[in-house]
Amino acid sequence: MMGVNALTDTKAVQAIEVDSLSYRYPKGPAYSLRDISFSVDSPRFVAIMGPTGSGKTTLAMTLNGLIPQLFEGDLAGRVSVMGMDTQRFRVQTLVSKVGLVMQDPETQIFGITVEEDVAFGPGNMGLDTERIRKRIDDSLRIVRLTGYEGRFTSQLSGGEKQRLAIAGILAMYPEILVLDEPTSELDPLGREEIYKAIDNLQRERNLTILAVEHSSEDVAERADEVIVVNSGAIVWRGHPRDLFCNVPLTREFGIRPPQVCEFGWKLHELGYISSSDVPLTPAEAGELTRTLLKGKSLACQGEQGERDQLQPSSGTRQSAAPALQSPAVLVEGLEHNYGNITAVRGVNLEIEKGEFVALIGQNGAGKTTLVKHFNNLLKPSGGKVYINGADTAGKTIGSLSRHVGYVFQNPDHQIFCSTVSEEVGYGLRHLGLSEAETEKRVQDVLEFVNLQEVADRHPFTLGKGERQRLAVASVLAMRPNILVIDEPTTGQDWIGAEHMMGLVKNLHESGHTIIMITHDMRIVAEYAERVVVMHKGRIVADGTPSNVFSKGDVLRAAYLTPPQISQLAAELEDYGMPPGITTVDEAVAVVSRAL
Amino acid sequence: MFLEYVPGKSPVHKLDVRAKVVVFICLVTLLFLFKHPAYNAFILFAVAIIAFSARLPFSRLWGMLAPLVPVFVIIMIITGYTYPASTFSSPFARQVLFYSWPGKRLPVSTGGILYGFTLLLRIVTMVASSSILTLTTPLGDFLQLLRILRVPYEISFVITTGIRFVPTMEAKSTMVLDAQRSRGGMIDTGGMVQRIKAYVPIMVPMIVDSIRMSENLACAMLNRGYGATRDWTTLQEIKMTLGDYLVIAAAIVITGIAVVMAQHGYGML
Repeated sequence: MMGVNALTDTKAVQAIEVDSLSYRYPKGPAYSLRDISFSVDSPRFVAIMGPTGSGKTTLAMTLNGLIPQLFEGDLAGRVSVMGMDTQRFRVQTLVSKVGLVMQDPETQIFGITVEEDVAFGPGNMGLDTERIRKRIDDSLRIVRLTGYEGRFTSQLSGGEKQRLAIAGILAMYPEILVLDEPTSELDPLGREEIYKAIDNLQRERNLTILAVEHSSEDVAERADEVIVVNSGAIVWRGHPRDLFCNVPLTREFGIRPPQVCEFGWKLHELGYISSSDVPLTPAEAGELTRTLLKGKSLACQGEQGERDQLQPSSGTRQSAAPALQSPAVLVEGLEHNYGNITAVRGVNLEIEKGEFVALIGQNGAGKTTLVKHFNNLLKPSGGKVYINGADTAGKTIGSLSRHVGYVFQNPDHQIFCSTVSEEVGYGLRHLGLSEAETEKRVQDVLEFVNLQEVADRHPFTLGKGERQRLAVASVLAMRPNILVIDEPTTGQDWIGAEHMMGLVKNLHESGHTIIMITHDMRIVAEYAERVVVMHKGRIVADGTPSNVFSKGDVLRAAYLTPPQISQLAAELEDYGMPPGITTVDEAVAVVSRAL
Repeated sequence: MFLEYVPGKSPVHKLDVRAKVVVFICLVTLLFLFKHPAYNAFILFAVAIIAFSARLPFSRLWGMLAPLVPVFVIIMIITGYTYPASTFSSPFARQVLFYSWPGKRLPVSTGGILYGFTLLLRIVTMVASSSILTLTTPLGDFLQLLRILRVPYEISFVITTGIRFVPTMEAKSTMVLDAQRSRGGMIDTGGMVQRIKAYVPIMVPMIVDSIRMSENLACAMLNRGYGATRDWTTLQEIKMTLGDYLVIAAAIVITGIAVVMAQHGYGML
């Protein structure tokens, strides 16, 4: 009887089953996960979303037993993958069922060459050489790294490293793949390649994929389901459409909805469409707008003329500006070689005082190489760089730091003092200022970035956002009037990105010239006055965001994708949509005028 | 990086790692058998021929040796003064070259200078031959050698990971250095003490970052099934050929002859 019962009761094994899971790190102040229950039946694509610090990574680490086997602490509840309890089986056993790709690819690569690295996992499992070979070929093909077998891992780009990290896990032939922010540090081309690999995987291996991801636009196109985590608990679960198309709900969760959803929601608020018609993807948005506009035309000549006048192209900008004041940055025929590789060639660039310039392009396009010449971190192989009218040749980095502040992406690469105010004062101590003057500058700067309350705290007790503001403050203390800001929002959630950009905007408004490197086209559209596009060491486009984002062919050649809303506008050109729409509000205004 | 393998198809590249290590050990033995610089010069000449046949980048070898030149000079001077004539057996070596202080004080012997030369040749030959070994042998071959010698997997894993992370740490230290300089940090100015103090802003972020990385690394190792089985598989198996055996035999015979020669007083000072 029992046997028969057991048989009839046995449903298909759930891929993932989490039952009232709670977890607190050893010495953790509070529970990182609280009473989490969910199950996933294979094969599907599930996205885990939520603000930074909400417990997404912790949750990912419970799924293959890293928690509690490597990280101890208080764990209650049960997690099982493919029917195996993660507390009963070793991580090394579970890895053939569930593969976990973590955030930083750098620490997940063990081989000196690509094939050695992929062989690491299967080699640990004791497979024979022939089978390992097959797994290497197979995994590299899925992540599109075939032909890279003999390359040195140290010479791969960030995106290639991330794909190699995925291949290394795939070579274990897991049935479930957990990806922790697989694309957050990558350029647009890198992201695209990762998602191609994920699409390949779903097609070929029928895997269950769980991905922690901030980019709602990527999630909207692919996920079968979204799980929203906040403060360690699941706060929402369902189809991406029900989340993203309900814009107020996404705001409540601190998730940035896709631009087309914002566009649709605004049209809904204006009463043109019902809430159930809010589009999820650009394709849907295009269809919706076309249906709405049937028989109507968007073309309004006067309006468009006005736009063109408001936003002159960069060509006219330079000749129009009288040469009364020397430009903040003037680059003439700059060339830079690393050994026999030319990273930047024939670059001419003029940036006026007080401009807000976004520098975009894929990794390796030469953006960082270019800006490192502004404060002499790199010296030109050919050509000249003038800062505030003065040639940088022969100047020290220290003396230029009073003109050009360079804010690096990762604040932890510069924090070393035991208090916040000491940290800010580091550069000042070399200027020979009086004690009182130093004190005053530190106070001023801390006030500007709103850190005066934590002046005596240890920097490492601060949150990521605060540490980033501290890094900005330590650069501002030198009172530079030009600020180079390298990827200020990379790896941050929406709220963090908004805070950081608020600070950058304040700096711009207080008179600083801003030169920002970023991969986030929405940020470019919303904040920058001018966009410079680099590709293969050259500047290939230079103009206002609306000017640059309407040059689809140039951007495609540079492997860049304009914001969703600009793509939508380009698609509706035959309906008379004026070119150069870069924000949701502009698009809504144009469409609603026609309706 | 100094350990980087330079791919090639020369006979030296093709030689099995075991044969290369045996030849290397024999060369080092030969160097220490003879005290006379002429003999050591001959060994260096032989090594140079091997390096040439492996088509190694000589500029790179020189790059490694150049910083050692001041050390060579110091060695010559010190041995010249510290080896008094009485320590040598041959009459030529016992000659006093000159006195550097009036009143026959601080003598410099011919033997001392010659022995200085020998030490110099030994260092150069060892640097050159160990470079040939590492530049012509992929790391994987060395790891297999360790495996054949029954060195535990953990140790060869630590070696590979260590080497794998050299470029990563270099890139990190450049980033930290750039960040500190950009906010007015003075890293490479001032006196000795100041310079050491100036490295605190580099070391603290590097250490903090390394701790974070090592934690991630531990996770990543488990994610890849490290320690799942006691045995592990490598991609290539190394194989000895007839040529390898011949080279090993030749090296051992030559070393044997040299030992006999040295016992009969050849190559002494």
